[in-house]
Amino acid sequence: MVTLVTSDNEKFNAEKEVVERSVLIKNMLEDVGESDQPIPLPMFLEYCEHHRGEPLPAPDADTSQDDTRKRTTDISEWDQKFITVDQEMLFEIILAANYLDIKSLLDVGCKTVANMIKGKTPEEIRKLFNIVNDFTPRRRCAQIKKENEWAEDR
Amino acid sequence: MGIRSLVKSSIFPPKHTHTPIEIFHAPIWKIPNELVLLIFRKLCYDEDDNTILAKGQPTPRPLRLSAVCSNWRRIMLNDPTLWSTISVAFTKAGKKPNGRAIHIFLERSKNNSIDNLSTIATFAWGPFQKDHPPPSLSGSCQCSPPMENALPHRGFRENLQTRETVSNFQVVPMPNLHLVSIATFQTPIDLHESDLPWTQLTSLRLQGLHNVPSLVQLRPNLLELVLAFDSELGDALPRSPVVVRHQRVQLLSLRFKKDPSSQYVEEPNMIKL
Repeated sequence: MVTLVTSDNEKFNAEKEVVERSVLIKNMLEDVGESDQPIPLPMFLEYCEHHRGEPLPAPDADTSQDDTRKRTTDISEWDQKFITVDQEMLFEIILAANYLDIKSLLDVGCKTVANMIKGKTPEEIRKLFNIVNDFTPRRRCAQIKKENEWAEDR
Repeated sequence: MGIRSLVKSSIFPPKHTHTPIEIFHAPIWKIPNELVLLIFRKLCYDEDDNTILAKGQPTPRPLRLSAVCSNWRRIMLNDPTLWSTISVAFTKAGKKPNGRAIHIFLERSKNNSIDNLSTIATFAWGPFQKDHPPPSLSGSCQCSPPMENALPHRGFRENLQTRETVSNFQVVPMPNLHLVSIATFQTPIDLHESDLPWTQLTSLRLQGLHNVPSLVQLRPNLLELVLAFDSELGDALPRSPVVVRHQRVQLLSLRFKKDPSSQYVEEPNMIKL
C-alpha cells in the first residue's frame, strides 16, 4: 500500500498497482524505494482504480502523435461520466493528468475539450470558454474575418 | 518599461486590448500551450471535418480555431501538421471550393514532414456526398506547375479556370508527394502533357481503369500500383484488356467490387496474380 497526501493534507491509501498508472508516481516510488513516506498528490485515484489492470501505454509513446491521426474523440461511457465536471475541474484534471503523466486520463481530458469545441464557430468557442477576442490591429481582424467569412454565409 | 509609462499604460490602457484579469480569468487559461496543442491535434487530424467546400458551407476546423484569439492562432500557425489534413470537394452542382482556403492550408502545411497517407493533404475531385466518401487525389503535391491539368472533368476544369484558384495551385510548393490516387472521371484524364512531378511518385492508386497504361508509364519510379474498380461508383470496365508495362512496379493490387478481375488485366512480367 502507498499513502497519498493531497495538497490540503488529506491522506489516501491505495495499492501500488493502482497508483503506478501515473508514470510520475511510479518513478517517485522507484526513487523512494520501500518507504512509509507519504507521496503528495491531487485527486486521481478513482480513475486509476477503474482502469486498474489495463495495459499502460509504452513509456516512449507520444500522446500527440500516436492515435490522434484517426478519429479519436470517442470516449468510453465510464470515462465520459467521470469527466462530466465543470470547466474548472476539467482543466484541473487535465493539468493533474499531465503533471502525473497519466496518458490515458490526459487523453480523455483533451478529447472532452475537443468534443466541446466541435461544431462551434469562433464566437461560440469564445463564449463557451470565456475567451476574449484579443485580435488587436484592424488589419489582422480583417484577415481573420476574411478567412472565415464564407462560414458566415450559412 | 519605465515607471512613468507603466503608470500611464495602467491608467490609459491601449484601446483594443483587454485587461489581463479579464483574459486570464477563464479556466482554460490554466492550460499550457502544449496541452492546448494536444487538443487541437485531436480536432485537426480529422479530414472529414477539414473539408473545404464552396462558400456557404462550414469553415474547416483549423481556420475556426485560429480565429478564436491571438494565442490560439499562434499555436495553430506554429504547427504545420494541423494544416496537413484537408479534403477539397467539388459539388455536383459545379460549385468550386474556396480557393483562398485551399491556399491557406497548403501554405501553412508546407514544411510538414509527410510520410503516410493519413498525414497528407487530400484532394477530392468529383461529386461529394456524405454517405459516399469522395474519390480522392491524395498527396502533398508539388503544385508549382498548373494543377488544372490533373483536374478530372472538363466541366470542373472549366469551373476552375478562374485566376484565383489556378494561381493558388501554382504558387504553393508541396515537395512531399509520394502517393496519388485518382478517381474515375467521366472524361479520362489527359496527363501526357502534364509537367506535374510524376517522377517522385512511388505509389499510384487509380479508381477505375481509364487511361491506366499511360498513367502508369508516365511514372518511372513507381513501385506500387493499385487499380480499384467499383461498379456502384459507375466505373465502367474497359472493352479490351488493360496492359500495364512497367519496369519497376513491385506490387500490383487489384481491388474489384463485385466483378471478377483477372480477365481485365494483362501484365507481361507478372508471375502471379
